[in-house]
Amino acid sequence: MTTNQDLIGIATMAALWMLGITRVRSMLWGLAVLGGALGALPLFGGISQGHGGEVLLGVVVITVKAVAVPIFLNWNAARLQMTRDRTVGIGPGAAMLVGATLVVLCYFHGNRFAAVGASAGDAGFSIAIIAIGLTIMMTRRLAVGLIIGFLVLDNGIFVYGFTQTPGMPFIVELGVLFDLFLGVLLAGFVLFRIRRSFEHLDVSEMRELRG
Amino acid sequence: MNYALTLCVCPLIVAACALAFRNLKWVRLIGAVGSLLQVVATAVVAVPVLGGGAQTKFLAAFQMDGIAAWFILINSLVYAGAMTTAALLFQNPEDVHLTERTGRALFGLSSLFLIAANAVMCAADLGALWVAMEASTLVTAPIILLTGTRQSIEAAWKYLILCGVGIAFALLGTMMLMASAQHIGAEASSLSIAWLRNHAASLNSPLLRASFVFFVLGYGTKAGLFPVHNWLPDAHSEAPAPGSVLLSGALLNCGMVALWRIGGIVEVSNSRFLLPGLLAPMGAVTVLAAGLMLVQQRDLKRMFAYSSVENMGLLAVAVGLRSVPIFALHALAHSLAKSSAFSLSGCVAKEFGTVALSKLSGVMRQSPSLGFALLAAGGAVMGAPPFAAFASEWLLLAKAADGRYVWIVIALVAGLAISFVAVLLHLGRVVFGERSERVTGARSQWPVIPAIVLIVATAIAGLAVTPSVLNALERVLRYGGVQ
Repeated sequence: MTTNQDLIGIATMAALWMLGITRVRSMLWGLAVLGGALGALPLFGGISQGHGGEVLLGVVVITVKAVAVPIFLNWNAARLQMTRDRTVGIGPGAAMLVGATLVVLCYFHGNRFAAVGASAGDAGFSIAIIAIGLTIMMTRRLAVGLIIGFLVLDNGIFVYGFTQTPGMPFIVELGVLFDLFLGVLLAGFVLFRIRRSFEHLDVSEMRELRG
Repeated sequence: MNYALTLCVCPLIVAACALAFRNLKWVRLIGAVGSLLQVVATAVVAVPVLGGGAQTKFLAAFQMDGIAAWFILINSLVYAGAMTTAALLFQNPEDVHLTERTGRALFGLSSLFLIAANAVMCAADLGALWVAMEASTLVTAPIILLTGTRQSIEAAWKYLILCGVGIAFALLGTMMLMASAQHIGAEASSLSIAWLRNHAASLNSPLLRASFVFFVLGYGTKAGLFPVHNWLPDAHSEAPAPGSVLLSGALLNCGMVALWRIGGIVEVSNSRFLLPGLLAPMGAVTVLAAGLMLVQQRDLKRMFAYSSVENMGLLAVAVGLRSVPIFALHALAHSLAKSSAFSLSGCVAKEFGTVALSKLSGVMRQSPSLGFALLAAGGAVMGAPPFAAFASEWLLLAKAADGRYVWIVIALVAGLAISFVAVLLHLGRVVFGERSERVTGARSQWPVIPAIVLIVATAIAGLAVTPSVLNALERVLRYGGVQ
């Protein structure tokens, strides 16, 4: 149980740290740490209870979320020469403060989202990670910042799933991860198209379409 | 192997040919023939189920029940309309801003999309439903950016991100619903819709309510409900016409069917009030907002896209009031009418070189068949008699009035009236206006034919609505949750 809480703590800290930085490569490191902590949840749980399926799931989650996705996005960012994102609205410091407030609020209201018999604190932290992901999406200018924010949000949902439910059937979980990975690949492909036609990757400057 | 899987055969063949053949001519032929064969195959598989036959389960997480059979039939009709229109329109792909390669890609991606959409309709398990739904997003995003313009790239990006976040919320809803069943001693079966429906009364209420809110946000984004509809007009107007046909006729239904199935769980739980209290008002607001936005449209395809938003609002009200026949009938009416409208928009774009309402004028004089078809499609979309949408909208208003949902009725009447006038005014100017000078494109009457067939089909469906038909629909499609 304590390992679980350590891992969720690491995941939350990683998400919070990502709110405060703008260097794309550092954000991807944060994403890798978050994905690793997330994958370690079923991995350690499976090892201690002797469930082969959970161990396998943990390995797959780590491979996809902590290794494949950050490496792909890093390659993508390098090709497109995106090194530093800028914030829109509030700065990184203020965003981190907002994130910390979210964590505290969600921690104390976690029992609203917790399953019967599961830890309320874990539920609160997972909702906090989801909210931090949304905050990252709202405060970044570059398209890659949006993708990273989305992935943080998605990781928060996985934390919720791993701590509050017995887990989806393995095949469904694989399908979810596969879809997610394809989605990131597709988004990366669209980034190239955006760069080619718009000559920038600032999504707040994309205004060809009107309401 | 289950016979329902045979429905994957034709689309897979079309997709494989689109990949293998370099010549667009062959792909067009195979796409058109394959899509018509798909309609026949679907009829063979789905009609016995609609006639009260056995509801078979396949691949563990899928089931062909009444709702699935009905919507798969709609999907196939829409697919056939889209593919035949594409085959006729793409004689010279440059006319519609495509190349040989992107033309082939359209056929392939559309066929893959049909498989994903059918999987959504058949899903008997919330996890499988989510996976299929995300797959349908992933195959449709490339369709939107096929023309390669800046607008289309922005629309595809918006679609990918907004629907991605929406669907992520639906995943959270799925997890919460699963968590709400923890104390029952559930095994892995707790994602099965039928199981959840049977145990709905003992689900943990606060979690169930939270999950429903996330479902409405998530799958509602996919269906294009106000205020999370922003991606829809952009995506529908930027995709090539056959792509818009599929987006509007088949993709939006996916979100609505998901909400219908989840509504089936909420209906028998102790949080039943969420259906008339949250979903139906959201639908009514969608109808009103879309009506107001229709007034100031400047683009034919965007206008039809906002009309799709409006119709999804009507469907959401039908889901909120849990009326099976109205839901099924209106989905059929909207899908057929809107498919014909969007394929006609493709003909207009090809013949006049633009879809801007300010530049289009005098379609009737230049091309009478296209003008008549456009008017008929507009009437069918807006629910003029004798088309099926008239019957379903009328029934929906009656149902809401019966339930004494005064505000919903007021919003629906206002929204429907405003949008009816707005669309007919816009279309009237396009069809009857002074003859325009900028006539550029190649003229041909053939691409109008699939649209006319679809319009006739919706008129027949409208005339076929009788109380006994509605009762039969009610009986066959009764259970939203798979039994």
